Amino acid sequence: MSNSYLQEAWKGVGRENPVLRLVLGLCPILGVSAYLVNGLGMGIAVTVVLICSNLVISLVRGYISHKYRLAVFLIVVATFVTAVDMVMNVYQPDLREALGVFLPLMAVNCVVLTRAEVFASNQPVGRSIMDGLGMGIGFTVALLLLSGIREILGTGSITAVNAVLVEDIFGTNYEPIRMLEEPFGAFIALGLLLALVNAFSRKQNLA
Amino acid sequence: MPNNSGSPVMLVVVILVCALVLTGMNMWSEPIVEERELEEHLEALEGFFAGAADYEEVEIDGITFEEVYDEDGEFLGAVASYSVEGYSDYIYYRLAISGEGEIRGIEIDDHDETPDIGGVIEEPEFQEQFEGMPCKEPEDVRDLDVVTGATKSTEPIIKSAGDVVEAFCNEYMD
Repeated sequence: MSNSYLQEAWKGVGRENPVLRLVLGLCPILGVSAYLVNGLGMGIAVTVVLICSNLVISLVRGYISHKYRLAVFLIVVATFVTAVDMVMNVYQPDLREALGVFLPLMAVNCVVLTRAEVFASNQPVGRSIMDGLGMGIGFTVALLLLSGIREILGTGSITAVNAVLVEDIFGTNYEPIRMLEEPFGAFIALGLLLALVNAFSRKQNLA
Repeated sequence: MPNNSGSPVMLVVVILVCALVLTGMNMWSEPIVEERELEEHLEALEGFFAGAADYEEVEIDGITFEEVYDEDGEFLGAVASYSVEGYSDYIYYRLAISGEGEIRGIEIDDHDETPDIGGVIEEPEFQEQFEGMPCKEPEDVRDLDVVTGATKSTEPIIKSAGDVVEAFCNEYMD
């Protein structure tokens, strides 16, 4: 039993990664990936919202009439997003300010709403929680990958750790690829990342 | 199986429960956040007036001022928040005037000026000329040096600072 629960979570990280394979939730990914620490914070927030909303929607799935299901999803998700926003305002106000508008935008995040509609609304609670966890971790992994590329190659350092460690790797002659810090650089980096993942999955025959 | 009969009962229940949860969370978080924001604001005011412990927002001649008091309730001075149209967009700044009627300093909060050109408004060479100017002579303030090549950024600040200083004097100095 627990073996298949783990599989439920694991698929969200790899084979069905919401960003890299299902190509969902790209807007906040692009908006938040300029710095690694922002990416991590956003990833954690999305994971929390995913688990909570999947849990609740799965709990009430038997009682929601089909006509009102979207309204119920939106309200549940928006409530958890607001709750996360309030908690962050108390414990991590700087991160919350850095994430800016993308934090409340989680309420209409594709990943969250799609998992609610496609999975949590017709799956048992246990599986739904695992799905939320897996999708959240997968989202965070993708976000960290993109943020890592953008911040390390784009500025040559990781501001959060106050380390100019890239100088140690590349040597002080490293000329940062400034374009990566700009929005269009994010598009290009994400595109290349997706292309890489595509090539890899073709080889593994994942379709 | 999807239920197409369309009963909104569950929706209403969900709405009520969510409203309750959020109300509770707000009641918990609001005082904490308010206290923190007060502390941050006082810290910012301390940059102009050492020992700032309390502030009150007032409006004088259409300009928003914050009166600053120390812990004994003594009037330390006031900080005006103002915005003017610069070269590319609005420039938001704060001008602090002491209780004796002298400009303590100017702080640029937000601007969209070109970094090496209009951006001079953030440099000490521009900002330092405000310090010590008496509010009794607003024309002297309006006569401060504009930076050549950055007229559209610097002049509006200088001219409006004269208005701010004049309003302060009218209100607080006899």
